[in-house]
Amino acid sequence: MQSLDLAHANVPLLELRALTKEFGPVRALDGVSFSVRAGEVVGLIGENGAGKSTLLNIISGTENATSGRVVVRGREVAFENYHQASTNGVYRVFQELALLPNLTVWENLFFGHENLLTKGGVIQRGAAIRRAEAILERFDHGWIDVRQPVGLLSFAVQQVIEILRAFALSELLGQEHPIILLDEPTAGLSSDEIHFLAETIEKVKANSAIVFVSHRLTELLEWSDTIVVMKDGAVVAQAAANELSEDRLHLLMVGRARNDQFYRENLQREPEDELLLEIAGLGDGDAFRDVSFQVRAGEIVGVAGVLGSGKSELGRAIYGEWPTTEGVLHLKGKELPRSYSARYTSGQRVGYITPERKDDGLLDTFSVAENISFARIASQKGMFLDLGLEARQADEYVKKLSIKTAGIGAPITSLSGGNQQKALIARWLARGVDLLILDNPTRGVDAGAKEQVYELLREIASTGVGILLISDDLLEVIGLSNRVIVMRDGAISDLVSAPVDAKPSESALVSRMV
Amino acid sequence: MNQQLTTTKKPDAHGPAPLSTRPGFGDWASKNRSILAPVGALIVMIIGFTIMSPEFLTVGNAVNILLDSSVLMILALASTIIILMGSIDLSIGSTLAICAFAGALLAQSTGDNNILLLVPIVGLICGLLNGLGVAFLGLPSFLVTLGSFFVYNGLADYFSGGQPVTLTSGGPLAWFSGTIGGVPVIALWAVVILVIVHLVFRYTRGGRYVYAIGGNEKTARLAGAPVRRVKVWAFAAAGTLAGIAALLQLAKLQSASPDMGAPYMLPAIAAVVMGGTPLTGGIGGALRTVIGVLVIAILSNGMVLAAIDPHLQDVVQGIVVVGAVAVTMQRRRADVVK
Repeated sequence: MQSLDLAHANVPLLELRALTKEFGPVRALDGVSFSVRAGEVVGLIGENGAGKSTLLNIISGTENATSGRVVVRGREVAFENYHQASTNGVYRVFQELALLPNLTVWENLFFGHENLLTKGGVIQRGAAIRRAEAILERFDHGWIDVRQPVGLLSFAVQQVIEILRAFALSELLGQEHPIILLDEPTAGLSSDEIHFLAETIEKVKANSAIVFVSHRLTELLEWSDTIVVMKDGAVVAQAAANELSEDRLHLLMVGRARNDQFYRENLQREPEDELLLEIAGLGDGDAFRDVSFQVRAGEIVGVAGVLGSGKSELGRAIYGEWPTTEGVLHLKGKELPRSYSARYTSGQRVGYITPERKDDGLLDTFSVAENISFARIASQKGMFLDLGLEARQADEYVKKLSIKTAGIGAPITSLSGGNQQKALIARWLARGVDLLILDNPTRGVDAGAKEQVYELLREIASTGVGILLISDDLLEVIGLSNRVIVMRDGAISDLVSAPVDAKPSESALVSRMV
Repeated sequence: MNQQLTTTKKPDAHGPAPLSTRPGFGDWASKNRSILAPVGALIVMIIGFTIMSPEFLTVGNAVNILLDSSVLMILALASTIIILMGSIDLSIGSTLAICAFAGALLAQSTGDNNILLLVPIVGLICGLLNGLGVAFLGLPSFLVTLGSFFVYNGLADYFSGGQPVTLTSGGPLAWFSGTIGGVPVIALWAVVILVIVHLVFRYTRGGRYVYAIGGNEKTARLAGAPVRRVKVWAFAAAGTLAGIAALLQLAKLQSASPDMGAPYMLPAIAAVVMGGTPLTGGIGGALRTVIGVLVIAILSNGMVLAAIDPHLQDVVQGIVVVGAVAVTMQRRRADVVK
């Protein structure tokens, strides 16, 4: 079945034909087609929610396509699980490593396919170790001791091992060229480590076909031969990497028209004179440095920047959830100590909405009402709960924010993402805040609920609350903010004012982001 | 699958009704199942033992069961606080032992009345040490309390020289003996503690924090809850309850012996989980624990009456505990899948 000289014949190793994936009415993938040849690296890029992960899931067998075809080595496939995919030469390297830290390097390299290394049911240890050494040697990583537990190696080396695992297994399984899906492999790496990984990819690429997903445009352009840009589940552009620039990529990824209605721009107000937050020279010695800006009462200040620009860390630092090493913060004229906790800040009437609602936003064993009341309860003086107030406030906010729920006693997990998010904003409104820090408040929220969140933010600002809006969604930042702070590599690269009648364009911001 | 369908009926149950504040209110069907399973087990056992032994279903035996389950009830309530928080306390039984010893010895040196206060204080200190270890050293509660389990047991052994200490006069312990209207006073104390713990969970900030920490500790912290402090006080409260349980046990046995805590280690945790508070915390509560305690108490009482071989009794108890836990775990999984 497998033709041995596929690499030389110009037949792609992996080919996607009109892949479509529907989740109910939502199209996560819409007719995606592209192909990858042996010796080629295809860079895949798109904003969060563009459908990259869904695409990789379908190729690697963890999800099924609604329609369309995946063709591997000239043969149409529909893997039922990842094991089947890897048995057929498709390997995925995850952003969070899928290695078992307590097992040795060689055990990890062959994990899940040990049956091919056994004689009479016993793993041929010596032979397996020699085999592992030979593979590492082949890619100039012979210095790695394969008998060492993986957990003792640095993150970048582990990542390399995970990539080489694809080769170890493909050799073991007698496949010619592995197809490797790299899912944001550089997200957790420092620049030295990225360089190290780049070298490895350079070495392996001749013998494989690689799909490489990244938010970091620099690496994407450098490492890929071809780049596929996705937006809203569809491929919007496909071009040779040397024909593209970072600017151009950004514009292709975003490139939506802003609807001023959507962001309620007519409701944008002038900030009051009162300074709520004053930051001077704030830095953490790593993710961001020398950050200075102010937020006034009633003002919405947006923070834009690519992944790794330090904008999320900045938000957490202001709230007290990320240590800082330099700089001074004044909150309502009062200087804050070097280090303080979330409890301290929330006690000063500051609220924070996390980007990961499911991880650390929801109290998922609690009802809607209990979620709404929790920050207020945490700030109250007395020891007894006022259950009447809890119910009244929950009723009030469910109505005011039109939170769709079966009742205020319903579990928070029974709500949709958008309604959960509204409940989390209500948590801070019920507590009463002067400053609200939001990190990607509309991530994973559908368009209808987004609009309601935007209207809500306008209303909150109109009552004199200052809002710091950190977001990956550029249009959201532009549409909602009075001023936009643009961050690049941990420092503020620009401060753009965004009055109603003169909103900056996406491309103007992008040029300051990269 | 069927459970999902029945959820749609839930709104009717709530509508204008006052807010029900039991956190972790899972979906209607699964919530009922977690109560029905242990209650069902209870009913099956009662019917079975009634058939096997004519003495089982008598007033006298009911009083016996109450008497036997009171100490376990209070220890299980202590465990409930900790398990709701997503932690575990293996040292509850040994805290009881060291408290009982302290009580018996202190009664000889400082007089009977003082131990009413001193014994719970000893328990509070034991719990406080656990709590400080968990909250400020950042160690897993399993490890901290496994260590303190040996420490407290060892200390009890050491001070007693391995010998039981008898109470010379039962003075203040009159508070805990006898019956009122046929009900043992010890059982009334257990009920009073139950009501207090339940009210604290439902109506105080601390109680709400405990549920929140069990549900999602990081969120609780981000929303401004004093997570570490709550942990310390929760362990201290559990230790205090173990101290009170020690007073009841002293009153019942009129002596303290080095191994008196050992039989409680497993049941105190098992009763909580059987009642429907999962080890992952966040949902369940004090009232649930009552069912678990009754299952364990009736099971051991009934097996004695039915003249089951004492060695086999442990086997049966172990199997019932695992079976009941399996039921509640499954329910939890359904919650997660949803």
